[in-house]
Amino acid sequence: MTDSDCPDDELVERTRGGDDQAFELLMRRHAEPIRRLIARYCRNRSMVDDLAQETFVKAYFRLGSFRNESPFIYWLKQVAIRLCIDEMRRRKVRGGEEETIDSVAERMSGPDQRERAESRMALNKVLGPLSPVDRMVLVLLYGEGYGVGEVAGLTGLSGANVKVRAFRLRRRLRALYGGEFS
Amino acid sequence: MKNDNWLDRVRGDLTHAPVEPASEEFYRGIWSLIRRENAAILMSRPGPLAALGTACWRMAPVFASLLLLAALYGWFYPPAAPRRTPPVEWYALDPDRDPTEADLLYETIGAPFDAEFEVTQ
Repeated sequence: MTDSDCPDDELVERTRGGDDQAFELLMRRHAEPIRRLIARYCRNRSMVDDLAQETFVKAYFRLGSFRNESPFIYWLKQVAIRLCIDEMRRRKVRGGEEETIDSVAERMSGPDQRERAESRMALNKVLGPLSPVDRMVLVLLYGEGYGVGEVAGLTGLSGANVKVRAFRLRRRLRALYGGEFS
Repeated sequence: MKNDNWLDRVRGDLTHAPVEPASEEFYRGIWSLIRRENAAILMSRPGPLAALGTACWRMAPVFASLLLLAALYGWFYPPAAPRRTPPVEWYALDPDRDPTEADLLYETIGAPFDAEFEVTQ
C-alpha cells in the first residue's frame, strides 16, 4: 500500500509518532474541503487561506484529542468551524471588510457572472446581520448539505437548537428570495 | 415549486464560491506556522529550577494545610510526658535486701524495669 492509499487513521497515528510526512499527506488530502467550507462561510477571501492554515496548525497540535470515533475530516471540520465562528465574532466586534459586487464578479466565471455576483451580494446582505453561529448553520445545512444531526455534531449545538435556528433562517431567506419567485 | 426555487437559489449562492486549488505556498505556510508555534512552545517552557519553584508554589496551600493540621494535632494531643524512672537509690529503702540481677542491670544501663521494680518494692 502506497502512502497515498493509506487511511487517515493510520496517517494520524504516524503523525502522532513524529512522522511529519504523514501530516503533509493529510493536509494535501483534506485542504480542499476545508478551504471550500471556509470560503462558503467567509465573505472576505483573504481570510480563507489564513483560516485554513490555522485549522491545520491547530489540528497538528491537537491531534492528541482526536479519538478515531469519527472520520478525521469530520474532526478537522469541527476545528475549522470553531475557528471560523471565533474569527467572525472578533470581526463583528471590530468591523470586518465588506465585499463589493465587482470583487465578487471578478472571481466568478461565465456569461452571467454579474448577475450571479448580484445574487451572491443579496445573500451576503442576509448573512451579514446573522450571528456567527446562525451563519455556520446555514452554510452547513445548505452549502455543505449536512443533516440536522450532523450539523449539531459539528457545531456542538443540540439538535433542537439547530432545528430552531434553521427554521428562523428559512423564514428569513424565504422573505429575501421568495419575493422574486412569487 | 416556489420553495424549491428559493432554496435552490440559496444553495447556488452558497456553493458558488470558487476556490482555487491550494498553492505550494499554502502548505509551506502551514509548516512555517507549525515551526513558529513549536519554537514559541519551547521558549515558553520554564527551566528545571523555575519548574520546581512553580510546583512548590502551587503546592504551598497543601503544605500550609498539612502544617496547620500538625499544629492542631500537637495542640490537642500533646506528646506524653517522658515516663518517670525510679531513683537509682531506690533499693536504699530496704538496705538489707540484696540487689537482684534486674536491679544491677538497671543501674548499668539505666533501663527501667517496672515489673521488677514493683515486685521488689
